[in-house]
Amino acid sequence: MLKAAAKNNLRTKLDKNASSKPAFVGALASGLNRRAFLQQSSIALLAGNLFACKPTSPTSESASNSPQKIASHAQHFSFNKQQKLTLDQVQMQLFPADGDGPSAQDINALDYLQWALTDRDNAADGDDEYIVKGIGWLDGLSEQTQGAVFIKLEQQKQHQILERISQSSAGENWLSLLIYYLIEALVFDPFYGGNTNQIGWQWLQHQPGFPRPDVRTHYRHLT
Amino acid sequence: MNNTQEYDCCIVGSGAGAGPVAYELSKAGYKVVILEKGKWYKEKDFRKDDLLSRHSVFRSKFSEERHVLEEPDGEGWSSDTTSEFWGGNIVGGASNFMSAYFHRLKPEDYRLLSTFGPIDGANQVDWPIRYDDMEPYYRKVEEIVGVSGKIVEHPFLEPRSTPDYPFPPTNEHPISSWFDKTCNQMGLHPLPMARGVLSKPFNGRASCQYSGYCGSYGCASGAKASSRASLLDQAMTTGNLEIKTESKVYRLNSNSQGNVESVEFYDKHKQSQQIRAKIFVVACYSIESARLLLSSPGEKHPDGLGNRYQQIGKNLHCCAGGTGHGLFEFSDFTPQQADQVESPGTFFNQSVAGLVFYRRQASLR
Repeated sequence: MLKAAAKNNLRTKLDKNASSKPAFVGALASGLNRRAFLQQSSIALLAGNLFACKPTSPTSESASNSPQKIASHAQHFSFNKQQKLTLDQVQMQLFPADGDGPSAQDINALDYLQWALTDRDNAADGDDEYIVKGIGWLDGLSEQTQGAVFIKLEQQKQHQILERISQSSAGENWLSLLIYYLIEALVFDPFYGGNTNQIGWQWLQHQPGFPRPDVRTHYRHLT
Repeated sequence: MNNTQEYDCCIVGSGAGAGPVAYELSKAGYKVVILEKGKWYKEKDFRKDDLLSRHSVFRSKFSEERHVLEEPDGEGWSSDTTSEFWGGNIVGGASNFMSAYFHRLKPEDYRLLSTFGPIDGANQVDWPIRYDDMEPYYRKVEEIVGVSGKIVEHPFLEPRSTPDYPFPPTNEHPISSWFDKTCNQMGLHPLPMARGVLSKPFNGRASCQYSGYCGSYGCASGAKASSRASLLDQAMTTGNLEIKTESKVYRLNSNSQGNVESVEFYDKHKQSQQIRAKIFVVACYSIESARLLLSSPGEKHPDGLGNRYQQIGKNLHCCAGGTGHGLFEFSDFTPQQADQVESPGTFFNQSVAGLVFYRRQASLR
């Protein structure tokens, strides 16, 4: 249903069937800031304004005040194996292989996320720490209520756990942040690692602008 | 290390405010220097890149130019660090990334107080200049930077000394006609937006290639009338303009008469440098210009340069904008309409004439 919501937002096309499942639309909207409405206007606007709509994690205030983080350039960051397994399954819950467009794996969302978290500004926002912390909360709740960590649960139980954490503001923020990076992986130029073979653009019937980015103009390299 | 050369004019900043000054003075034979904190990127460096806004090279730094946004939060005032009001850290400034709507102000805009009356709590005043004083300059700007558009007669059309814009309008998206039709039904006056986007090649700049992602993105063809593409590139051909990049001004020094004599800035090696000039122009964005003036007190300017009336930093106006949106049910479209909606490339470029007057007259149906 997230995919349906994302697709509706991105293509400015409302699918009447999908709009009867508003759970994630609500989570998406309330997790975004006051300029989030821009996102719903068009994909071009979304691409231009996605950064304005980024959900903020509670840690971002203190993190962005950290001189070390402000001063440093690309961060070194990677998930461990367990974290990867968990995030992969959460992403697949949020963006499943449901026959309607690409799944999270199809758009290489996990690798994209790991790369995006090495961005200086994203690191300064504390996103890497927040996402890792959220895995701990998720597994904690999962063990407490289901007796096993998230990845050991069957899909339906996983879905229930995610619905449950979305009821708290911290959980909703965590999901919103993952959704934010999923959408980046869906719509950004394949050059940056997501949107494999333009599969996201094809699904959204989006024509990119040109000239497209290349090695010389890569935003982390242009000097 | 001090630069002993004295310029006729030193301009702080290189964007929409600085470009016209540099253009005019260098063409008139004066020796001009621009101090720009960003680097100098050209058409070949711009890509329609979703990650443009993360390009740290185009951005300011929190550590050097922290902006704090205070807003009423119900109990008092919030205080948050923000990057929302940073422009473009680049030669040509934020004009590289503008959507380039080139409306002229209306005659009434110069005398809002006397036309519409006072507003409680506001400190409005009429401008000391009128539209008629400015009209020749609007015309000049439209001709020099290359504004595309089409004059449509309507009740709120400002007096103009030319029959039309110097360039025909950019190509319209097919659904613009839907907008026109609805506006006409409502008794509104739709018209093509005047754009600082070339619809024909001009002065070595290519015309618009309708390549998508215009506003917020640097223009790879040169069609967008940024200060850099439309003014500074021309001014450089005179040999009278020098642009010092990666030069961040931090203080203007005034003498005992109160006149500014020199400017101090950090060069790309973070070394402090000084430049002397006969005239200084501060044009480095509304917020940063105010910051620089307030950071430059002198014997005759104890509260900051030019701040005798305590107005520096007040009533600031950045680039304002608003958005609205509506949703169409895609399934309601005919196949022809669906094709029109999905047509890529061209602009939806329509505007409504004189909305402020409609509102004042409460005549919107």
